[in-house]
Amino acid sequence: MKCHIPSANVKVLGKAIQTLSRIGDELYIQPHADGIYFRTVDAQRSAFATFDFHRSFFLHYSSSSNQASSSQSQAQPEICKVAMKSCLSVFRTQNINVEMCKLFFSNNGRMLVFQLVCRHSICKTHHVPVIQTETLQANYNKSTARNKLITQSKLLIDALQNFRNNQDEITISVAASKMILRNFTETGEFMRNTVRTEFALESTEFDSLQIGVDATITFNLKELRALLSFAEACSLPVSGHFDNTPGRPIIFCVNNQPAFDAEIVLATMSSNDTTAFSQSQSMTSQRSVNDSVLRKRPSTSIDPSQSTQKRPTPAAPTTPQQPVLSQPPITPQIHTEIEEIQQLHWEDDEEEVGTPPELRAQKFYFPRCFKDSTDSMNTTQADAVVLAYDSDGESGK
Amino acid sequence: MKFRGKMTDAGAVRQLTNLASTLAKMKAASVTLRLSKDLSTFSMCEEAGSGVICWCALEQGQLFTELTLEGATAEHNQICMHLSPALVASALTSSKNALGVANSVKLKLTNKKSPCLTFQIDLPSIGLNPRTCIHDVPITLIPRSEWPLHEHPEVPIPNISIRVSSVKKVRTVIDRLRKLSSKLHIRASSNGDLCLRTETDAGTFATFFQHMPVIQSEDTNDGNVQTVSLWIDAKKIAQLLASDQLNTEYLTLGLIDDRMLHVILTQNDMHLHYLIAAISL
Repeated sequence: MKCHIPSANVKVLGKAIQTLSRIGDELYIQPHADGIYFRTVDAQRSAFATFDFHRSFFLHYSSSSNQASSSQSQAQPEICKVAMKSCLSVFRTQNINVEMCKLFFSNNGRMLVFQLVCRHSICKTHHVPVIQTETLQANYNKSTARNKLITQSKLLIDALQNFRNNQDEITISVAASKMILRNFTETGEFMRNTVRTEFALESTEFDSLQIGVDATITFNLKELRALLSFAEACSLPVSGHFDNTPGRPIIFCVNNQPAFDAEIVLATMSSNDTTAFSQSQSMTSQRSVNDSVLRKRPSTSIDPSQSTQKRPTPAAPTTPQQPVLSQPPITPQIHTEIEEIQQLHWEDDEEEVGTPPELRAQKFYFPRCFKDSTDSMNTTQADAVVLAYDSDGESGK
Repeated sequence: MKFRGKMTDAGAVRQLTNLASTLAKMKAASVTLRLSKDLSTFSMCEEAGSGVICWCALEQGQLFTELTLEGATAEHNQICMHLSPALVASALTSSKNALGVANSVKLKLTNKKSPCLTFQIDLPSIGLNPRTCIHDVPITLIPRSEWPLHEHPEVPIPNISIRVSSVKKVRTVIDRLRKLSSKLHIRASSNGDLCLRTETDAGTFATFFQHMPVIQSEDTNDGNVQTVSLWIDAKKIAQLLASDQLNTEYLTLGLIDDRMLHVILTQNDMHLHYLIAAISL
């Protein structure tokens, strides 16, 4: 893969990487026939962002399929995963002198090179090591969303000014040509030190607000803020697509056809019920839907620890008052696809028919208590050896 | 208990916002708001249980164009509550957006699962209807038995009262002197001299201000210049001046010989009172 980016678009690419850095820590770069995907996903797998830069964005673009090279690199595109911080440092300075940016792989696909050709024949080259060869893909469908909004980023930024920076989640409700934004508060206990904010916007304020079905959804604010700052920097409108089905993500897009388009997919919580139990239920179903939505497909070496990693609850507010959300019990009603979630198995124990379930569980956890091994006649030689003295007798505390 | 007030004056909203930010910066754990027919009084105690050391009373007529108030009982027609000034300040900062200032800010006492002070802000919008932003600030109501604790004390008449217009200069001087020593000596004379002094092992450092307008002094028949002085904790006054978000026009320092310093920050008609006790060397 080899591409040249003109100076005007270098700024856009820089802003895109800045936005991605606010969402995830690793950048997935996937060149394809028509352009390059820059993607990332956050640690909790609750937000996915992709920037697709098309051919017209570049001065010159050649994916590996065009190159007459050895059969190895022709077989697959040079995809990679790199550290976000390294890419961020390439675009950190203002770069007003940059005339062109070249992006290519070197060292047999093990290094990604950003070469900034600046004025006065200065050339800055950044070599970023490739962590892994891996793709990132998310399954979602924008077109089935029944609610759609299109607005200038300024409107949403203005509306979000009213919500403090420490408030992570926001709930938006659409009904009857109005949109109401509310900060999400735990309904179990009313937080005594947070302000509850409600902000109403009429549909006339938006460029377009199509409400197919009345919906109330809750999602994380941080990623939306990142995308809005990108949209404002590029002076582009933002469109949002969402539905009322519990667990369906909300998708925000910034389109600048034919040069590039950007999408972020945010996991949502359907907060229709207000009881803590149903919250934990919806969080579990959300987590399982997420797992089916976001599937990493490693192409070459798979890091086994990553795929078996237990996925923590997405978009869970990290407050201590939330024990119910961190480890929700798996109830039989969850029948969506679940990948590798560790479950508390209380399967029937055929050998012990007739024992009540509590006792069965106790026997599972505390087997020694039920053994007739407490009288001294049964102590073996090994037990008689004193391995450690009583700590009480030793030091005069 | 009922409370409903509507603010339409942008200046009043700004005053309230500045006051809330100032109190928030003082890092008071809790601030008390007392609402009565005539006044809204914010007061702050240093520690729970000790007396009020800081207060500011705003006239209801200046803040609200419409006001409905029904207090705890008919004779005690007041509402007292604890609230967090930081949350009030952040709620009130919504009263300005890119399109202009709010048309109106309505305050209401509500009970949404717990008592709240609700700020309903009408903002200008591109569309037909104004945008509404509603903030519910959680509060704690104070029972009537505790009301006397939160009343601001009667300040004895100071021996000398001096007006300081150059607040910035005095603040800079106090910050510098504070770095040298934790105790600050203030001396004011009836001829308009103000002296701020600290003493360390290295030496004595003093700054003299002259020709300050004297608001009030005790009459001395023999025409001698009367001088009042006291030692205070420099940190307290430095912190007070640092948290000032009021666009203070002038300071009034009332000195009571060896007992107390009464500082009043004035902006427009708003006076923020602060009492600092004298310390012994």
